[in-house]
Amino acid sequence: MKKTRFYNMLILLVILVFSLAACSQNNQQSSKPQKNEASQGEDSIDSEPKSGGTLTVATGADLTKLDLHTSTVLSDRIPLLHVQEMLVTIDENMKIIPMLAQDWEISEDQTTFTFHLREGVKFHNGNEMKAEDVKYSIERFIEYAPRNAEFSMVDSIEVIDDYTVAFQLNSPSGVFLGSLANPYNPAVIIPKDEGANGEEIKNPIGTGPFKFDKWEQGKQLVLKKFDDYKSIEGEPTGFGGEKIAYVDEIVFKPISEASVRLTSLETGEVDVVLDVLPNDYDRLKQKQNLVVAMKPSLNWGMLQYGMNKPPFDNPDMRKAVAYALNKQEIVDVATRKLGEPAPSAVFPETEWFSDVHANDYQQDIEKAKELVKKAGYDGEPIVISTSTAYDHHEKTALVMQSQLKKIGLNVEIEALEWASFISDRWVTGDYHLLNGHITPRPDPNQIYYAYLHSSTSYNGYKSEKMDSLLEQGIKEVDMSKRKEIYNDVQSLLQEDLSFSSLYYYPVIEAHSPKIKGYETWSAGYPRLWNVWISE
Amino acid sequence: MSSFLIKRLLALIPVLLTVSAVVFMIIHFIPGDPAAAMLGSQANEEQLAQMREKMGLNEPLFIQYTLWLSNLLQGDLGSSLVSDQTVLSLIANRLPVTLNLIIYSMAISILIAIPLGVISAVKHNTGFDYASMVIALIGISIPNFWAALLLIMVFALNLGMFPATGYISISESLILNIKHLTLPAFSLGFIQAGIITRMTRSSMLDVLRQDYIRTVKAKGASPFTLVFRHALKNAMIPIVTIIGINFGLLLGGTVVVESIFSINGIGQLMIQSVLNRDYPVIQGIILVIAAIYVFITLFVDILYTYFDPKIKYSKG
Amino acid sequence: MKNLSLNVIKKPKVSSSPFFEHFKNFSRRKQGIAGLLIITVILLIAIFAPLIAPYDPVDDVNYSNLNAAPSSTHLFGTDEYGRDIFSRVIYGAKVSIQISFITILISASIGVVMGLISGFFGGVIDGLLMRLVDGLMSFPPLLFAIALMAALGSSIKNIILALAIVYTPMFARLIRGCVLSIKEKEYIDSIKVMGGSNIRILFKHILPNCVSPLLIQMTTYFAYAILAEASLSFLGLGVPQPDPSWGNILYDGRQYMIDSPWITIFPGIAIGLTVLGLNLLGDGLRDYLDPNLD
Repeated sequence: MKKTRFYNMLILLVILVFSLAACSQNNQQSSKPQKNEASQGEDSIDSEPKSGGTLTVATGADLTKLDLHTSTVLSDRIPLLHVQEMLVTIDENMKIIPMLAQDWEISEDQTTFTFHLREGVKFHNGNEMKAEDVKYSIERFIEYAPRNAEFSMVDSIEVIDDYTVAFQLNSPSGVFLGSLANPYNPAVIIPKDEGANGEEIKNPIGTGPFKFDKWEQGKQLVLKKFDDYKSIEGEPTGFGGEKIAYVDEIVFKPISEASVRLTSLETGEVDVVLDVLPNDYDRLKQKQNLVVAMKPSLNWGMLQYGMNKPPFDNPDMRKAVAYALNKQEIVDVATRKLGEPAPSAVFPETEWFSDVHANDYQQDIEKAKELVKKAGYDGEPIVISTSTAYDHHEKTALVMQSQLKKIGLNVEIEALEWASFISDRWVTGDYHLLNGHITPRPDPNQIYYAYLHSSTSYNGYKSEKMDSLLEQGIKEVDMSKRKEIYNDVQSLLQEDLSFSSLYYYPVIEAHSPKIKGYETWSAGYPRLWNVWISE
Repeated sequence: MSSFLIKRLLALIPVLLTVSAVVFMIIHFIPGDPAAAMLGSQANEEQLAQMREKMGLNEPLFIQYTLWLSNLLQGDLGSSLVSDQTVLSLIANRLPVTLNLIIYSMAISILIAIPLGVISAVKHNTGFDYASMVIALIGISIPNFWAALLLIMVFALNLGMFPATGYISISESLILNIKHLTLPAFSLGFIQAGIITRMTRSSMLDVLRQDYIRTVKAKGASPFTLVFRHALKNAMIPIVTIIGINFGLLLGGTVVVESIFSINGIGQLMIQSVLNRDYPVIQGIILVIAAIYVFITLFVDILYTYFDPKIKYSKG
Repeated sequence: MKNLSLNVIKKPKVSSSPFFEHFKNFSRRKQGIAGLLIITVILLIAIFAPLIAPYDPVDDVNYSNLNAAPSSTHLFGTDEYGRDIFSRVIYGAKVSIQISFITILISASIGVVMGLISGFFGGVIDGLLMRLVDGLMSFPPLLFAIALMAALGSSIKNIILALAIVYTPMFARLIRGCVLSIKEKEYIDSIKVMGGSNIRILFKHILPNCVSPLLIQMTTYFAYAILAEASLSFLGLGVPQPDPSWGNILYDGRQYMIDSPWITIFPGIAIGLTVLGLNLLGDGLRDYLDPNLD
C-alpha cells in the first residue's frame, strides 16, 4: 500500500513536469513564412518622438574590446558604431555617402582625393573634429588595423587646413572610398593622439550621437546621449543621414542563451533583441505583444578550403565537395527556410550581380564520388572547423558533414568558441574545411581581395592570375569595366575553389511595441538613433 | 580553543600546497607549448621566448613550480589572454556576485530543507513524510541546468513572476537583487535541498530514537523544546558536514546556472575562459575556488565544536 | 546520499518497536528493488540500443521534417536536423552509461588500491597519498572536471580521464577509512601473530569488509558521473557532435525550449530517472548491506 502511494507521487510529479512544460508551449502550425520584407516590422509613425528613457538591447555576444581600429568582431561594432563615425559611410543600399566629410574632389589623374570636412562637429571630449584628427585616425588605422591592406594605395595624407585633408594615392583607385566606408573593421575618426603608439583604446571617444559611458564585461555596456551631437542633414539612410538621439541611455546586455534572450523581451527586461533565431520567427510573428522584423540580408555563409595541406590542396577534392553540397538543404536547416542558397558572395540585389555570379555548381553525387576516387582519398579523417558563436555555423557544418559522408568522406566536426576559432583556425589557415559567415561589404573588392589575393589570403590560396585580376579591380575606375573584372574573378574562383559561398542569412530582430522609429537594416547593424520610447 | 585553531590552520598548508601543485600541473597537461598556451597563438617568437624564460620552461619542473608559486604569493596570477586585465582583478570583480548567488541558494535550501527534514522525521512514515522524500529524491535527480530552463519557462516566461536574467548588486537595490537571483538560486538549490532534507531526516530519526531523548520526554518537556533544543542540535553534525561538502557542489553548479541566467560571476567567467582557452584565468579561478573551499571546510570543522563540544578535544 | 568518510561514531542500536523496525526495512527494501528495476531496464536499453532504436541517431537526418512534435512515427519527436529523438535518447543512454560506468570502474579500482596501500601500510606513504587526496578533493568536482577538459580537449576518452581524476580520491579516502577501522580490530593482530602474510590479511580479511561501503559509493558516484557528463556536454565540453549523449541533446535543444520542448524534456527525464534509480538502489543497498550505517 505504501509502495503504490510512493509510485503515485512519482507519477504525479512526472505528469506535473510534463504539463508545466507543455502548457508553456504555444501550439504552432509552422506555415511557410513570407520571405519578402518585414512583416510587422514597419512602425506606423503614429506617435510624436519623445526624449528620454533607457533603451535596453539584448545581444548574443559581449564585446571583446573597445578599439574599433583593431577589432574585427561584429559584437564590438554594434554598440561602438553609435559612438564613432567614419569620413564617408554607406547608405541603406551600400552606396557611399558623406558622413564627416561633406564633399570631396578627385584630381584629374585620379590620384588625389581632397575631402572637405563638416565644420562644428564635436568629439565627446568637447574638441572640434578637424583635419589633423582625420589624418591621425587613418594613419593609426593603416598602421595597426587588420584590414590595413585595403589602404595600400595611400601614399600620404596631408592636412591642407583645419577642414581640408588630402589623400595622395600611388595609383588610380576605384575602391578607395569603399575602403574608407567599409563597416567591417571600420576606419572611424578619433581624436588626435588617442591610443597613440598602438596602445589599446579603453575609453572610445568619437563624434557619434551617443557617447561611451562604461563597460562591465559580461554584464553590460552603457552609452549615454551626446547632447552636442551635430547631425548631417538628409533622410536617415544606412549609417548616414539625420541622426537624433532621443533616448538618454542605451544599455547593451549580452545574453548568450537564445531562449533566455527572447524570454527577457517578453518579460520586459529588455526592449530590443538582436539575433533572433530563425526557428523562433514563426512563433514570434503571432505574438501581439512584440514586433518582429525579418529582412533578407547581405550576410553570406562561406566555406573555406584549407589549401595548405592535404586533402584540399588537391583541386579534385575541392571540386568533389562543391558537387556534393546541396545548398538548399543547408538553407532549410541552418536558416529554417528563411534564407537563400548563395551562388556567389555578391548579393543578387546589388548592382554587381550578373549571370556569371548566378552560375553555380549543382549537386551531382556521382561526379563527386568520381572526383574523390580520382584524388586518391584514402579515408583519412577530415575535420570541418566551425564556431559555436553563431547557431547557423554549427548547423551548416553538421548538414555538410552528412552530405559529405554520402560521397564517402570521413568527416568530423570541431566546434570552437569564436576567439579560438579566429586565432587557431581562421588566421592560421590550419584546417581542412572551415565555415563561417561574412558580414556585408560595400565593394566587391572587399569581398574578394582579403580571401583571394596571395598577400592576404589565409588558407594558402595563391594564383598569379587572380592577383592580377584583383589588382586591376582596384585600379579601374569605370563601373562597367569593374563589373567585368569581378565577373572574371568569380569565374576563376569557381574554378579554383578557394572558397564556396553557401547561403544568404536573414536578419531577424524583435522589439517591444513601445519602441518607435526602429528600422531593421539588411546590412545587419542595429541603429538606435531616431528611436524613442513611447509609454 | 586557539591552539586548536592554529593547529588546524597549519594543517591547511600542505593541502594548499598540493592544490597549487595540481593547478600548476594542469598547464602542463595541455598538448603543445605551455608558453603558447599562456600567450595565445598570436604571440610571436620573441614573446614566446620571453615567456619561456619567465616560466622557466628550460629549468627542471620543480624550479618552474617554485617560480610560479613565488609569483603567486606576491599576488601575480597573470593576465587574461583575451582582455589584458589581470586575473586577480577579473576574479575580484566577479567573486562577490557568485558568492551572493551561492549564499542566497544555500539560504533557500537550508530554510526549506531543514524544517522539511525535521518535520518528516517527526511525522515519520506519514503521507507528508513520503511526499517530502519523493520531492527530495527528485531534487537530487534532476540536472540543475534542466531545472533552470524549466523554471525560466514557467516562472519567467509564462507566469512573469521573476526575471530571467541579470544581476543587480545589493548596493543598488536589495529587492531587485533578490528578485533577479531567485530563479538561479532555486535551480542551484534543488540538489542541495534534496540532499539536506534526506540527511536531516535520517539524522533526526537517529537522534530521536536515542535513550536520552526518551528521558527528556519523560521529564515532560514540550515537543518543541525536545525537537529544537535537544534533538536538532545533536543532529546538526552530519548536517553541517553535508552543507560544507555541498558548498563544493554549489561552486560547480554555479557555472552552468550563471551561463543560463547571464549572471556575470565566476562561473560565467570560467566558461568563457575555457571556451576561449584563456588558461591563466582558468588556473586562477580553480586556485581561488579551491582555496576558498579549503577554508570553508575549516569553518565547518570549527562549527562542529559548537555543536558537539566533545569533538573539540578528541579531534586534532 | 554521499557516504561520509568520517570516523563514524557508532551509536548503539536502540530497540524501538520491533514492528516499526521491520516495517521500515520492508518499505526501504521496496525502494531498493524499485531502484534495481529502473537501473536494470536502463542498462538493458543501453546495451541493446542498436536493436531498440528505430532510426540511426546520427545519419537518419530528414531535412523536411525538422522539429516535429511527438507522433506515432517519432515517439519523442524530431530535432532540428530531423533526427529521431527517441533513437538519440536510446543511443544517448548507451554513450552516457558507458562513460559513467567506465569512469567509476577506473576510479574505484585505482581508489581501492590507493586506499588499501595507504590504510594498511600507513607511515610516509599514507601521509603523501593523503596529502594528494586532500589536495585533489579541495577542488569542487565539476569545476575541476571543466578545467581538465579545457586542458585536455573534448573527447569521450578525455571525459573519462577527467572524471576519473576527480572521483578516484574519494574512493581512496573511503577505502582507507574502512581499512583503518578494521585494522584496529584485535583479530588482525592475532592473525599476524599466527604468521599470516600482509597480502593475505589485506585480501582475505580487510577487503571483504569494505565491499559494502564501496558498492554503495559506486552507485552514488555513478549517478554523479552521469550528471557530470550531462553538465559537461551541456556546456559544450562533453561528447562532441554529432554523436548523441543525454547532455549534448540538451545542449542542442535548449534554444528550442519554447517551441519544441520535447527535445529537452525526454533526455532530462532520462537523466532524472537514471539518477533516481541509482539513488534508490544506493539507499536499498545501504539498508541491506549495512543497516548500522544510517
